[in-house]
Amino acid sequence: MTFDPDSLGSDPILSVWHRREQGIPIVAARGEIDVSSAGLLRDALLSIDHEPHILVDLADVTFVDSTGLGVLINAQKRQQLAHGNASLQLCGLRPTVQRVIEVAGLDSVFTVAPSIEAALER
Amino acid sequence: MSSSPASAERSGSVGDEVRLRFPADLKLLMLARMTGSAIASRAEFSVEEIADLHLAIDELCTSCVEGAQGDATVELTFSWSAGSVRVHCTVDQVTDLAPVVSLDRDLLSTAELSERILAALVDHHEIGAAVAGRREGFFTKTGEAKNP
Repeated sequence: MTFDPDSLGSDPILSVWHRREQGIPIVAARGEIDVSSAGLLRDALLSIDHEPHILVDLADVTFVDSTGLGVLINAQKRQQLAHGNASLQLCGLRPTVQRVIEVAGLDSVFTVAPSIEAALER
Repeated sequence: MSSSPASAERSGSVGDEVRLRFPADLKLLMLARMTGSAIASRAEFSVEEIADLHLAIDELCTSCVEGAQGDATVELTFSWSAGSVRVHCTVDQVTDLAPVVSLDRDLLSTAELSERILAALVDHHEIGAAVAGRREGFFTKTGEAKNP
């Protein structure tokens, strides 16, 4: 699986791309999502929030803080409001990112798949 | 933002302490996280505890720097001994912002998430309101080696 050149932006610690597989939009991020970089992910998710299903590829994300979680929660909430169900799926979480979700008490909030491939097979 | 370079100084060899001062530029918070991880390693924290401290420092700094003005400065003091770390953060030139209130009671604000994360990761923490343009916060964290 490769990123297509449809980069949605980057800064020194985070890059965000958009691609589509099997018709499903995928927002892929690489780097660290903190208060300085979370806006990139927020803008990427806002640009496709009309889509009924979104996959977020976090396999190359090494750090997420409360700001990043807030972006993901808000994106999921917009999806629920617009489309009536939780259709935003987080894929490929590293243990450090999974840990943040757990300590924030959000492990039951997000739908998580081990990888993009696994999410697409569902 | 001030353009003065980030600087670090180490003082003393017993009751180790490192001070890190840098402009309150959000893009520089990664310096605080990196320094904290190195110090957690020196304090004999486990890999998991180092990752937790890394996150806790980010949350402390992010909370303290909120409302910082253009020429604000962040000063972090890391104190440690075997199995224990204390991080103190001071930001000058800050103003208290109106709290972000979620209109949806099911939707947590970032501040609530940050508070929840800090409470889960450290032994004790406090983040004060801005007083005379200055906000302070700190946390202490004890590792498994000291707290089996």
